[in-house]
Amino acid sequence: MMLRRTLLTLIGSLMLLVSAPALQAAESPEAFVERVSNEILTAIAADPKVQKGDKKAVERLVDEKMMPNVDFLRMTRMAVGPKWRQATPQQRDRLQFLFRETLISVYSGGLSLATDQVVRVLPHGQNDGTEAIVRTGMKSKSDSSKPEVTMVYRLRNIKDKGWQVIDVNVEGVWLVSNYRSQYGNIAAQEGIDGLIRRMEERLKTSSK
Amino acid sequence: MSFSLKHSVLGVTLATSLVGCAVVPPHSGENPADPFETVNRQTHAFNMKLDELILHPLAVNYVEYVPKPVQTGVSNFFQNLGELDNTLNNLLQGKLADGGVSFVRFLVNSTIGVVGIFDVASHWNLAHAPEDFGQTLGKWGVPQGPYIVWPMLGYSTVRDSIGKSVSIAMSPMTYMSEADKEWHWVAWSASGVYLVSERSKLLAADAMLGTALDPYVAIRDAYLQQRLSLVWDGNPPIELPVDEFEDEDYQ
Repeated sequence: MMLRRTLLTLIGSLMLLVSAPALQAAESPEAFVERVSNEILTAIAADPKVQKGDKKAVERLVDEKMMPNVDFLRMTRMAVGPKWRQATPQQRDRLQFLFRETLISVYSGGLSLATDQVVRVLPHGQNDGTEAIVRTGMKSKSDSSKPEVTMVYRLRNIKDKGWQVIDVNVEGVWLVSNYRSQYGNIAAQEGIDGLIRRMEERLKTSSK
Repeated sequence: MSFSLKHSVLGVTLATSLVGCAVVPPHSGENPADPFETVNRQTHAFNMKLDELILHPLAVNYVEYVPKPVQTGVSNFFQNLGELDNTLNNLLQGKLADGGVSFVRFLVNSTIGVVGIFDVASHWNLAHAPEDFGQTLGKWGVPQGPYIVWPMLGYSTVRDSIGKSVSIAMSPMTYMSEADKEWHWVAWSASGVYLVSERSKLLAADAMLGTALDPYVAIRDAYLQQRLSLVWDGNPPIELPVDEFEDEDYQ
């Protein structure tokens, strides 16, 4: 009797192990966005340092909760635009690093607003198998009269990884597109090195 | 006469000295949505300076020292003044239910909500459904026209500027100040409070602007994208940049 139970548990956990990656791959874009959003909101709610925009704490949150779900290389090269092709591997690494720093400093400013939010998936999403659009609304738990903030995610189904975020839209504005129209112009006129220099200077002044 | 002339000369001098620093890139005006880019950039620089010197500091202090419930009350009060505009434009767009809701919201909040200070209607499941005439024109298929930055009034397009004048015409405040000269300065101070209250809601966006390499372009594109989204009630046809480096090896 005892042995049978142990065996069953063992088989059960083995099956879990085997099916875990398969489950993840089959996760729908909506389920993926809902799961990740809730994980992030829970982490924000639990950490007053993050809410205050403490740089170390925000960086940890970004690295642990967001980066694994984001295709950051793709986001960076889409933000840089056509000149990406000419960038050396070192320049590409540098651009990714600077774009990450940029997004962290944008993000830090908004975190104090996300202390008691709940996410729900809204209708009118899209999914063609390779790319998906998931629309969500964020609302305050304690004050129902506050307007719902719309956040839309653009996802891509990446081989062996499943769905990953490649762009975010807050209240109608796409993040990557917005940076692309600035970065693209500067890269076209001043080259990749010019763009890198401008990004470095900007980060220095904005983190004062 | 000479008094007002002196004032305008002073105004122009002040404006010129504030604007002195606007950088206009060589490709200015090539974007089809923004043929007046060169002038717009000057006005933008003027507005940003004004914001830095006056509006931003006021908004920071407003958030810091004015109690939260008062801030909410102020915001509700001005939102309520816009409900007639919302009513008209919901109806013009054929959204009869939202038009009715907007009008009932105005009645409920103006009375039970004490001249709009309390948003009672939202707690009664009468959800705020903002629509303006710029969005109505957009829905009717009127093109947005060139992007325009107005001194002090901020970001707009030709279409949205027309919309704004309809909003002003639909605001009860406009008629209060028309009816009685005494109300003039009340209306002006109220507009000032309104500006500070609206600015205080945008303080979180300053971080994004702080990272922008070209804040003018960042604001312009964000404004145009957001208006497009509003015309389509949050669900515009999506035009996103494609990843043109799909062929490259994945690291």
